[in-house]
Amino acid sequence: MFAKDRIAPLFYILPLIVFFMAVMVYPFVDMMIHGLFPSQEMIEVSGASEVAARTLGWRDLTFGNYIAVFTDPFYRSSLVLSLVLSAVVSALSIALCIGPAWLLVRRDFPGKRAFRAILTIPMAFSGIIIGFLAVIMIGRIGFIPQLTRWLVGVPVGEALAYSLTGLGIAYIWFQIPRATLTLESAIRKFDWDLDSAARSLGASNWQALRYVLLPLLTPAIVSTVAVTFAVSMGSFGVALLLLKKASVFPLEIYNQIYANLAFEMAGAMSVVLGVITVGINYALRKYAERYYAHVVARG
Amino acid sequence: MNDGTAGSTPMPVIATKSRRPFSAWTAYSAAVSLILIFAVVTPVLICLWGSFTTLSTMGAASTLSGAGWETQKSLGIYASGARETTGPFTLLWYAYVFEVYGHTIGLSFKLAATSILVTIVLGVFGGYGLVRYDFPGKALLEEIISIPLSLPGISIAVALLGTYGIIRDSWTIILFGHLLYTLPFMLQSVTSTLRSYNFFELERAAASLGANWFQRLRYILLPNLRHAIIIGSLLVFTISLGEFNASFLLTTPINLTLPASLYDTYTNDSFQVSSAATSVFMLVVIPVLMAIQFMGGKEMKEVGQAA
Repeated sequence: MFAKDRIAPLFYILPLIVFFMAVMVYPFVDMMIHGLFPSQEMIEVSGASEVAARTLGWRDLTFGNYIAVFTDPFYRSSLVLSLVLSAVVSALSIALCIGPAWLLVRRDFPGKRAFRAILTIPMAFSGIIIGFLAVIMIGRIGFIPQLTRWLVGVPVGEALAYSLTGLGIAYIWFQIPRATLTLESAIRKFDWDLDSAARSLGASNWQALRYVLLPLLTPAIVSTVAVTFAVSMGSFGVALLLLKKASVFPLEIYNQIYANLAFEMAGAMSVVLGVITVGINYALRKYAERYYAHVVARG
Repeated sequence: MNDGTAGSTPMPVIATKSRRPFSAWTAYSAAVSLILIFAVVTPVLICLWGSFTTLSTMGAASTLSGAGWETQKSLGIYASGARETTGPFTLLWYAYVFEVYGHTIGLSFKLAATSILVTIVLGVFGGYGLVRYDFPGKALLEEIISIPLSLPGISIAVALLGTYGIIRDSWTIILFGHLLYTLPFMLQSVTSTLRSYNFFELERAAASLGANWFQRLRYILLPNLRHAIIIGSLLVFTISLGEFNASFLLTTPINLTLPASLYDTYTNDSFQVSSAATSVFMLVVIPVLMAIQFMGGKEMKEVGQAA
C-alpha cells in the first residue's frame, strides 16, 4: 500500500505489546515463579526452620505447590468440582439456549429485538449480583418457594440457592446470553441448502438430523462450550455468596489469600486455573475452526 | 427446519412432510424461551420492587426509625421494627446507599471512564496497526490479545497483586484489571469495522492528495470509526462497571468498587438496602445494554468474562 515500512507497524503495535506484557504476561510469569517457592505450610511441615529464617534462594525452588494442587485432596476436590460443574453447566446451557438461538435465526416474530435484548441482560451482571438474584428467586424464602407454596401448598426449591444444584442454576443463568449469542452466530453460518438438498433426496427427519444437521451443529456447540466453560471456570462471585460447605476452585484461591495469606499456594493454583481454562478454551476454539473448515471444504 | 421458507421451496410435498416433527422442536424452543425470559426478568423486577418497598419481606424487616439509621449507618439484616413507617414506598434506601456507598459508585464510574479513554487510544491505534500491517509474530499477538476473554479474573488478580502489590493503595492496580478485560472488546469493535470495508483505499487517496498523518487521523480514521468507538465504549462501560472477578481481590476498604461494595451490602444490610444498591447498578447498566443491542452491536457475539 504505502512504502514498505518497518517502523510504522511498530509505532501502532508497540503500545499494545507493552500493555499486554506489563499487565498480563509479566505478572503471570512472575506468579508462575512465585508458585515455585515453598509455601509457609510446606516449610512448617518439613520442619526445616532454618529455611524460614534465611531468605529463600534458587536451591529452595520446588514444584511442591503445583503438585499439591493435583494430589492434595483438599485442592483437588475443588478443582474437580469446578471442572465437573463447568462441564455440566455448559451442556445444560446449550440444551436450553439452542431453542432461543434457533428462534432468533430461523423465525420472525414481533418483539424479536426486545427478546434478544432481554436475554443479554445477565451478560453485564457480575457473579455477586447473580448470587443475590438467586437468593431472591430460590433462597430460603425466595420467590419460587413462596409462589409454589401459594399455588400448591408446598414450597418448591426452598433454600435451593445454597446447594450445588442452585449454584448450577445460577451459573446457567449467567450463561444464557453467552450460550444464546454464540449459538446464534454459529447457526447463522449454516448452509441451509444442505438440509434442503438432503430432504429433496428423500432423507427422513432423523436422517437429516443425523447426517446433515448434527455435523453442522458440532462446531457451533464446540465453540459455545469454549466460551461457557471458560466463564464458568473463572466465576467466583456466585460461589462466594452462596456456597458455605463446598468450594469451587477460584473461591479456594481467594480463600488462600484472604484467609491463609498463602501467596505461593494461591499463585500456583492461579497458574493451574489459568493454564487449564485458557488451554481448554484454545483447544476447543481451534477444533471448531478446523472442523468448520473441514466440513465446508468437503461441501 | 424449512417451515419458514416452505412457501418458496419448489417441493411442497417434502416441505409439508418435514413440518410435523419440527413443530415440536419449535414448541420446545418457544417454551424454553419463555422460561428463560421469565428467569431473567423476574429477579430483576423483584429487586427493583424491593428497593422501593418498606414492607418487611424476604424475611428481612427494615426500619428507618431510631438510632440504627442515624448513628450506626447500618440497618442490619435483622433490624426488626416498624413496617410501613412512611407508607408502602420510599426512596430512603437509595438515600442510604448513596450516603454510605456513594464513594464506591464514584470510583466505579471513574474506573469506567478511564477504561474507556485508555481503551480508545490503545484500541484505535492497536487495531489500526493489526489490520493494516503484516509483521512477524502477528498471529501470536492476536492470540495473546484474545487470552483475557478466557483467562479467569482471579488468576490475573493474584498475579497483579504479586507484581504490583506495592501500589495496592492506589486505584491504578484495579484499573489494570479493568483495562485487561475491556480492551479486547474495544479492539474487536475497531478491527471488525476496519476489516468490513476497504478503508485503506480512502486513506491512500487522502495521502495522495497531501493529507498528513494527523489530517488522515482526524478526517478519515476517526469519523469512519465513530460507530465502532461508540459501541466499543458502551461495551467497555458495562464490563468495567460490572467487573468483579479481577477487581474484588484488588479492592481495599478505601478503593472499593460498586460490585465489591454490593458484597458488603449483601452480607451486612437488609434486603431493601441490598436491592437498592443492586438497582443502582442495574438502572445504569441495563439501559446501556439495551442501547448496544438496538444499535446493532455485532461485537456482543464474542463474549467474555463479565460474570
